[in-house]
Amino acid sequence: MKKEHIEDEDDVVFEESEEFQKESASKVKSVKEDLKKMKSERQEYLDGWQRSQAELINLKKRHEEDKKSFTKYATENFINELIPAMDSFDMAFRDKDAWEKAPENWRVGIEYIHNQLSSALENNGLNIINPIGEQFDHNLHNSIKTVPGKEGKILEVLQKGYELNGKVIRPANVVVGEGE
Amino acid sequence: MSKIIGIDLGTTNSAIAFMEGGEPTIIENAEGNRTTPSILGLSKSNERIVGQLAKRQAVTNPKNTIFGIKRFIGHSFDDASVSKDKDVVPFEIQKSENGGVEVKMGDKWHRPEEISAMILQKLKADAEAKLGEKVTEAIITVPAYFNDAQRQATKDAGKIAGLEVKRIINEPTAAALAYGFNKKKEEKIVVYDFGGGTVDVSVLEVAEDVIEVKSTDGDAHMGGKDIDQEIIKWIIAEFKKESGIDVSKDSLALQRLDEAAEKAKLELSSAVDTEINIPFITSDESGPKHLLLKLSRATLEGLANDYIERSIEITKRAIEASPFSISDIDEIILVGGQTRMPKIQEEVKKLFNGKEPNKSINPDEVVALGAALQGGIMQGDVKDVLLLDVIPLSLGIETMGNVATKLIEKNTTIPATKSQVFSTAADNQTQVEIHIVQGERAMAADNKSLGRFILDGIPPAPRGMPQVEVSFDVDANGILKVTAKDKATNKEQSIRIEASSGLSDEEVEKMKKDAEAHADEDAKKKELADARNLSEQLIHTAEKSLKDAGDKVPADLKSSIEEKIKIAREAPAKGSLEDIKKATEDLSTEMQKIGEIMQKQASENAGGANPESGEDKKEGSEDIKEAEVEEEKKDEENK
Repeated sequence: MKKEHIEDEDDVVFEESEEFQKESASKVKSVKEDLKKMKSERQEYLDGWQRSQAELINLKKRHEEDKKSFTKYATENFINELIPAMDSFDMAFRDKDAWEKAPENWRVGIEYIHNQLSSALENNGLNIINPIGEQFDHNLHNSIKTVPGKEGKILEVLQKGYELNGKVIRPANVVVGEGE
Repeated sequence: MSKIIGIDLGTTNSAIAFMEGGEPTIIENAEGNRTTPSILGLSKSNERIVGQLAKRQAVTNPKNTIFGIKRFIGHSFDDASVSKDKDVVPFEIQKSENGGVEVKMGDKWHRPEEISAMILQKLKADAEAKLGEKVTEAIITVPAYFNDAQRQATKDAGKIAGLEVKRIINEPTAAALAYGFNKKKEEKIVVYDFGGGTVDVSVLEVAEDVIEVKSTDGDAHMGGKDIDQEIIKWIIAEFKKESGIDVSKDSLALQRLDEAAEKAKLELSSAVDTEINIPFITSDESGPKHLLLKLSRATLEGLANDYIERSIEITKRAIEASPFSISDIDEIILVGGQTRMPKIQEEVKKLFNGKEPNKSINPDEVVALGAALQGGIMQGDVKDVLLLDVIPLSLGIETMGNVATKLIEKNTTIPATKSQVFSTAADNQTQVEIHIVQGERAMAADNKSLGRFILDGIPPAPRGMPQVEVSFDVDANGILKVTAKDKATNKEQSIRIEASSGLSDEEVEKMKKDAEAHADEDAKKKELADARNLSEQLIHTAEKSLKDAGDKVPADLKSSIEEKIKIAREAPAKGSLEDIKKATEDLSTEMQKIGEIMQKQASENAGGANPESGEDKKEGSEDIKEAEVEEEKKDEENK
């Protein structure tokens, strides 16, 4: 390595050999490559972090929605278990003649029990769908069979439907007319 | 980049899932259900309906309600299976121009892909509604036996629905993915899928990150529905025996039987017998008739026996067709709702020489979940660096009364940070010792001690006033850093605890078991410690109040309070938990009299100077309020 004569203290210039230059150049190259790699990795991590953050926020939002619908329909499962009992009462009253053959006191008592059950359910948001004579609507009704009759008209309600706070939890099971 | 959703497009039912928080999660449809019937209908008012709603109008609209379209997709019209299937469906089928199948809906003829596309459209729309963002990419699953034409047709269905199908994967492969079996090396897996309308058994091999299907077998026309039918037939027969009445032609009775049969079947998966109770099922001249039958699990198993046996035969055939033998199989996966039946689980286990089948993931949902996972893998959601651990045991510090106060609960996913503010137990206490413990026991001494350090330099103050913030920070490698900081002076001290200084796996299990075994005992100990702490605090407050009130308290009240204080102080040594509680309560009641007297005096003085103790209390609370305000300001600055 040759040193030039130092002219000025502030102005020191070292002339390097070719070897040293090559070494430095390759070192610089490798550092630049590393830097490029780091930058891209950093971007990847930053991106991943931002995505996680965003997902957390979205998850919270979905969680809030779920909570809302849960409180609204929390009683749904329980009420579903009571519907067969409601169906059974309907079945008991269905054949009017047969029902009226039962002793009046007992009959009336059972009708009162039915009222108790119906009121309790109504107070908890349950509405009855009893669409006799209406047009068939797949949003509210389930067709069990068709018989000759006015096209699309509900001719018989085999089982009433139930709607809880706006959600149809059991469609009405109906017999629909067709052909006329 | 939107999420790739996983779609299980089934013959009878479909399900969709996506990756949420690194885990596959089912997306509920618009009706709030986790699966959607694969049914498409064109209503009388020309409305296209999909799913449950389409099912409801099927009976009034048989020609325009298309179900089971999966049986026709990708087939030629002349295929044997098409000839068989087309005779039993109420909708019209014809040969298309290029020899494929066409299905009539309304007055238009559709290719099966178009029908599937309309079903996929509803699933897509429901997913978008739940996720709050557009969905454009999907993974769709198909049976392992699907040929190229069927796979391509399924992909086309996705395209028509506006979905870019990133991949078509096999249903059994998706199930294996959901269980994480793709990470195992050279595992041989059998997927046993007993669904509502089909049974499919596949033999898979996991090799080098790829899951290969080695063989398949199945029955496209056997499923849980057949078992439901057997139950209904049995009920009708039993009722006929009892009452002489045949209800098989009574639509209403049948409807109720249908519901009852399905309910009974579900109950018998967990109970050994169940009651089928249908009051007023019908009536005759002698009056109303009621149906009340007991159905035992044993009887149900008898009714289902033929179908279960056939499914085992299918499984044997599938293994014979593979390069493996029964003893080679490493894992068995159960798919399809019907596999919840104990007898099926038993028979499968028996076939594989007592090997327990995998059934922890919901069998109705496992395929969709696996598809979503595949989507996640493709999107880079599932990176090894993102596989996070949980801490196995709770971490906390020892607090007054030698109680262990948890800061981070067990099973918390890490990295995690939790802070809590504690205070001093004695007046003029200038240092706090932070003793870090690991475990579930209520008393610190029963847990594992991880380390301790001291934070000093706390300015002398009445007990309970200093605010020492203790922070626990666990990084992804399980290294715990505990920091204690005095909020008044900002002085802080910390300690770093290596993950390995905790407990081994066996020790963790033992700790958990011990905690359960000692739960009652620990609860009592904690109750005692809490009662003692409360009592001590009250004694301290009582003494302070007496001092502050000074002459204002009448002598007799003062001595009665002092007496109560003495009893309370002696109670822990002499008495039981009840004694301590009573002593505390008595003291508390007695002390209230000070307040009553003060109030009376204050109102008598009508607006005169407030009693000293009152002022002190107010100042104290003002201090704390100021501190809160400062913190709020700090938070805002940090924002």
